[in-house]
Amino acid sequence: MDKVLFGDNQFFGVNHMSEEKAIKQAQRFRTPEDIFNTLRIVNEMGIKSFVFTTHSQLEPVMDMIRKDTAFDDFKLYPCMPYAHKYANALAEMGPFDAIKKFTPGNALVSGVKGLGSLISANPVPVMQLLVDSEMKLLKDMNVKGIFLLNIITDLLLGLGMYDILKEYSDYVESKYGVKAGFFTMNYTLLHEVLVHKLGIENPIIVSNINKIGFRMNPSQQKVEEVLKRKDSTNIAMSILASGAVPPKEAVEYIGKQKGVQSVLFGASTPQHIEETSNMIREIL
Amino acid sequence: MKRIGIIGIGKMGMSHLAIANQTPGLKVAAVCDTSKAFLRVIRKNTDFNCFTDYKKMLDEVEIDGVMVLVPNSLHFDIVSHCIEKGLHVFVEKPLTLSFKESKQLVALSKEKSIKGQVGYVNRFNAVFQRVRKLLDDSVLGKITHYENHMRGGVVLKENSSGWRNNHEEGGGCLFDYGPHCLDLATYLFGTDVSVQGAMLKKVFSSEVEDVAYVNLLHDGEIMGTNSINWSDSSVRKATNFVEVMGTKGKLKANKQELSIYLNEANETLNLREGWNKSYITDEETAVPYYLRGEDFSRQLLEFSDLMNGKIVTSIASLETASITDKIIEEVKIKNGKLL
Repeated sequence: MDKVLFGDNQFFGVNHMSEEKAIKQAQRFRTPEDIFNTLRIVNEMGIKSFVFTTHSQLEPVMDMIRKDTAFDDFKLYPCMPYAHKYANALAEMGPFDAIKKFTPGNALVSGVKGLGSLISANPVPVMQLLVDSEMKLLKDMNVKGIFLLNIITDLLLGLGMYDILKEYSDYVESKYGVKAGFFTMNYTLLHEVLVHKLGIENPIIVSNINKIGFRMNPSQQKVEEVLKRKDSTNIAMSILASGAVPPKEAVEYIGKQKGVQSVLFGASTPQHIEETSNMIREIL
Repeated sequence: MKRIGIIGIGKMGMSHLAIANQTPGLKVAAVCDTSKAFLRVIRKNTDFNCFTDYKKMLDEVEIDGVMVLVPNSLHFDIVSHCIEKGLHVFVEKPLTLSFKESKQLVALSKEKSIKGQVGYVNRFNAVFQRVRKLLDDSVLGKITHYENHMRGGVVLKENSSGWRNNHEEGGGCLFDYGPHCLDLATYLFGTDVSVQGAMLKKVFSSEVEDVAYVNLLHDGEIMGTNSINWSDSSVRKATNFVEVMGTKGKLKANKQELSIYLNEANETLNLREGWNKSYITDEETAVPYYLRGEDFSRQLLEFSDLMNGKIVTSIASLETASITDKIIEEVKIKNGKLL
């Protein structure tokens, strides 16, 4: 796993601290070309990993990446499922066309798989269908990991449906030959389940790790303690805590945490991207 | 440890179930939903004791309290039944669809000495709590007036069907969306409140309002305008923001950020003359378990504290929640017609 992973929040106007900042960011990236241009610069800087939600707006961007040979060694880490996409499609197209849009290959087979899932009350086939449909959009691309978004990871965690986390991990590994990753807002809880309850070896966990302890649950101290065990691959996100921590301090804090392998970050301007990524590379 | 039963596990119910299941001091002993397909998934994949009939659940399972997460029109019957049984109650907002019914529930809860909480989650937001503290400490001097807004993109095209388009089922932005906005007004400016005027307007819905303006007067002197709009396509998710004016300055707040303008510096609170800005990241927000934002986790931590006797009354009590229902009822009486 690279030390520096580039994220996508800035493309979609997500800022956890300020709506104004989010609006400004969203204005910068109006078209697929705007997003692609930033990724081109990122790639040229030598940042070779992109972690992104499978947002509909990224579909044309993926096509541009696929066609451009400069991206041949560019690694993709899709995060799924982007629930809004399904909700919007259902509302706009109705269930029939939505299923057609998202199910790979034979709609009948998917229908049977989905229906079977409903009858047997087993969510696993539905999960597999969703993964397959998202991966269809990334066919023949350089996918190096498939990550589960925190809303699903944490829901399953909260409900105690641990087996599904394991099924997800196994499915991604057996069908696509890559490791699963898990976003979470509950690092210590998830770490305990993945490492000790499910016995997953060196799982990839993406969680908030920042100097001010913002959204490090259940507490900054407990998260720091578990990071030190080094029995998981830990990716830090929100290291700037949406801008509350200056980049230099943010990166220094990460450097002090023994057990953080990579940093996932996003920024809008080439200057910010380069400065932050250089600092991360120096310290990790 | 207090044992609870969860009635209704739809969209909000599912996340409440996950949060309750991870909240210290609470043990989810049973869940109930009328959707058998949904319940089958829960039964098969978790250890929760499942029921399709809530009365049966109350009879068969030993519990101390319930979370009522069913459609608004069913709140009154289910909550009153649970209170009669002597169970503590958490109910999603609004408490009921009429002030009369809400008053009955408040009276019944007092008679039976049960504790209640309504799902007014804004009251557990750290920035809004900070605002309340600043107002309590008179940092802005005497409060004169405020503007309070709630925006979201719920109904974004012509709609002539479904419960959202039906007042009897709790539809319309005033009923479904407005409670969060109006409750924030009573949280910040007090429950001694009367409706001075209101306007309701249709945008996309055929039978109900999509936009509402509600003018309130608190303590006979603080005037406020509350604007509710669930047809705003520019908003990614529901947002609340409030601007408060006082004799010593003003403040603007939403769930993430707070700006304070002071005519003179406040040295005790380390606030400068002019603008002062702080963010949610400046507040203590860690929670034992996080799913949809810490406000939802803190809300159930409060319910746990309430049931375990660590606090006497919730900041989102049935009584304060009933005032929100009173405001909505007064709006209906005063607004005249749907524009």
